[in-house]
Amino acid sequence: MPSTLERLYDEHAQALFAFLLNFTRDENDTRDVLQEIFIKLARQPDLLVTARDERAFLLRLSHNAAIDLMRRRGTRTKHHEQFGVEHFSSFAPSSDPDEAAFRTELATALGELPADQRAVVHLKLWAGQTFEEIAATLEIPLNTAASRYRYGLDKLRTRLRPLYDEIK
Amino acid sequence: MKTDDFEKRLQRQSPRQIPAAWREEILSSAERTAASPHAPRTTHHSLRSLIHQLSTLLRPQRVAWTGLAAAWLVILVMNLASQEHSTLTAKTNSTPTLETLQALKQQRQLLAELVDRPARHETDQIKVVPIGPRSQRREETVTV
Repeated sequence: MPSTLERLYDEHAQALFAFLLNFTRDENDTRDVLQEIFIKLARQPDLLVTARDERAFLLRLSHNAAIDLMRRRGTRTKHHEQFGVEHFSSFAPSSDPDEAAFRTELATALGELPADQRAVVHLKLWAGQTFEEIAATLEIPLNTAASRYRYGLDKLRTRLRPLYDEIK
Repeated sequence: MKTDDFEKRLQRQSPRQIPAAWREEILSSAERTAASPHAPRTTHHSLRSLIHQLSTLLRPQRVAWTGLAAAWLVILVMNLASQEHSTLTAKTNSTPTLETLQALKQQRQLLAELVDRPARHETDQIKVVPIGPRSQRREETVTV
């Protein structure tokens, strides 16, 4: 029978990994934050006792830890944002060339979004959260969550329109 | 291009899979750290629950609470400042100075002249009260 920590990892690590990878744009940072979260869970087994939604709670922990990490590594993050966008993908590789091209463009377009918009877009599209849940996860007002999503999505649409129309 | 179609298209893009090797590394590292003697003890459940409930209550109105706290701080500082000022003023005004008494004497003289009464009699009644024991003051009055 798996331990609590193993169960939490098996149920949530993939979602946390995808969110963190998209948010930090760096695999090492993602790993560091993920490790930090599980160390915290191991040290404080009752951390999740009062959480209504484990996934949402862990996403919030991850977001806060990622922000702390990015602040600590401010210079490095700027470097990533300026030069690392082109070669980074938070999506799985695809055997379909059109799909692969779309994913590459999407990853680049996501990298061009501000981190706060990127976080909202990720949580809405790939974590399946509602705006209420996103607002709670990121500790922002509901309207802010909705407007960040709208702005982010508009930018993605503008950026990906030519390719989307071509391969549709 | 419809927004819905575009969003659905985006949703279909599957994120990268977490490297399988991370599971063992992260879990063993977490368990090792938790088992170390330097690991902090877990907080009592009821205390944690209370903190959680408080944070849930306060977090959404963080700006409002901060504003309220700042307002109270300003009020407290202003209150303290005015108290200090009034104490200082009271201290300053508690004993009449010689200049004040002199001015008062002159005013009385002037008033006496105006009403055409002998000023000396009235002005003699104004005594400069020296600072000192009451018994000593009485002796001085008797002497005068």
